[in-house]
Amino acid sequence: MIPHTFRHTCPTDLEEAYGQLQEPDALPLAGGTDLIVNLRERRARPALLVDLKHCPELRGIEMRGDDLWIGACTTINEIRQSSQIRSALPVLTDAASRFACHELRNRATIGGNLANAAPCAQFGPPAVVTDAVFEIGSAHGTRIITAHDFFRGVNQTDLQRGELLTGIRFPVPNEPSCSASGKLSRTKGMDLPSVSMAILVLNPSRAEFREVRIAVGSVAPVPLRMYRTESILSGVPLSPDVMSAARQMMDQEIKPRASSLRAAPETKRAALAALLQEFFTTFGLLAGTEGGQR
Amino acid sequence: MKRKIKLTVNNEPVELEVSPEMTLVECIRNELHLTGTKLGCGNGECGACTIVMDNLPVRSCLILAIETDGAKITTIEGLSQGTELNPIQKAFIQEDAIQCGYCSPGFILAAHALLQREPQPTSEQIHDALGGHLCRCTGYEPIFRAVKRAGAQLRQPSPESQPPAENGSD
Repeated sequence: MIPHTFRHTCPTDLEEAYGQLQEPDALPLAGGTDLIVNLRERRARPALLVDLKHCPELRGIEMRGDDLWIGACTTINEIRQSSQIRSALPVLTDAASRFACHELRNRATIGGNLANAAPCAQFGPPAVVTDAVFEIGSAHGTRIITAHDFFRGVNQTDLQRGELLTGIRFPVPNEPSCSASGKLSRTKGMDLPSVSMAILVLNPSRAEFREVRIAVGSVAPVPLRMYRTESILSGVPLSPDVMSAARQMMDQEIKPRASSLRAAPETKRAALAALLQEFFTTFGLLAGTEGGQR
Repeated sequence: MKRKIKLTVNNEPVELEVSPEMTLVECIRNELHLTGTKLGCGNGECGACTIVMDNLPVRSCLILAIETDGAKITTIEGLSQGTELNPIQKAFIQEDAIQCGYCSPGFILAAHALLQREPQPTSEQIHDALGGHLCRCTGYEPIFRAVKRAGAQLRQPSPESQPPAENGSD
């Protein structure tokens, strides 16, 4: 039993949910894979749980203009299985594929992962690297905010009382692109990332037009873009010297804490350097000459 | 405040009153007295409490009973036909995939859901489906063999729904 009493409601549309979320000490419930653990361990003590799973406006995967829209209550397995996502932004498929385990992926939602804002949240780096836009709603209206501005600290976001993350818009590049995300964890099976990285490369096979974007998770309270590393890798042929300079710059851009939960700072630095190398190899952009990736 | 919920458990309609604080695993074990479902870590990390809900394997320790109104649930008790074990259960016996047995219901239900959605799973798919389950006895290999064996048996439409004898190596 959860060690304190609360009420549970099941609104069937967003307006009803917004009304109920106005109540002080109300918390939204999506997949529950974090929240129910927090309830049991007394880290969360809501008076009311507003169950969002029956609001159809919060679910789905579809193109809206040039953006791929994913409803906040879309489950991780729904993302993983979407061929539309796999072809448009494989960085999201990668993040979903290595997320916890099959049973948790059937419940956990992308909105829950992002709104919990754990430093190791697996969709944080992909959201930041794609310049995703977060849609937020409440009884007072809707607003949008960039992924960059959404994350404020460990388990802290820009969401105000009564507000709900309703969907995420991921801009789909018009130009040729490749993207991926990866993580290091202590075990190969189910574990939170010790460190994670998402990468998006626009115009991968034309060095002079190439734009590289990199975001990392679990090295700071929020997911970080590696802007200075990106500028070293963008617009030039990728020689071993350039890769080496990029690794050194990334080392300067991150400052992992010694008190980190899951890996020592040196381990995180080494893992990120390896992930960077691995992505560029997989994309076929290394090996001396420019690869012929699409 | 208690609320009445209606759900289908192992193909039987069930109506009961639950308080919001009750988790699904507690409801299954303490209210429905289906004690085949095991509570392990209580945090979704071990897989012992896995059940199948609306055709998807889920962790019953991370779901509130009150969330399951209208759901269709299968527990380990729902797999056998009377005293006739399900082919997955038989394969677990044939491959010695059970020692203490505490993790077995979770593994078997995860395998059941896998074979329903993917009748011919690759080794990678089996690892992916079972990767969130802990077993402290068997070393996992017999479990993977059992799932492979069950998959092969389920694909054969032959009427060999007899107790193990023909194919069993023991």
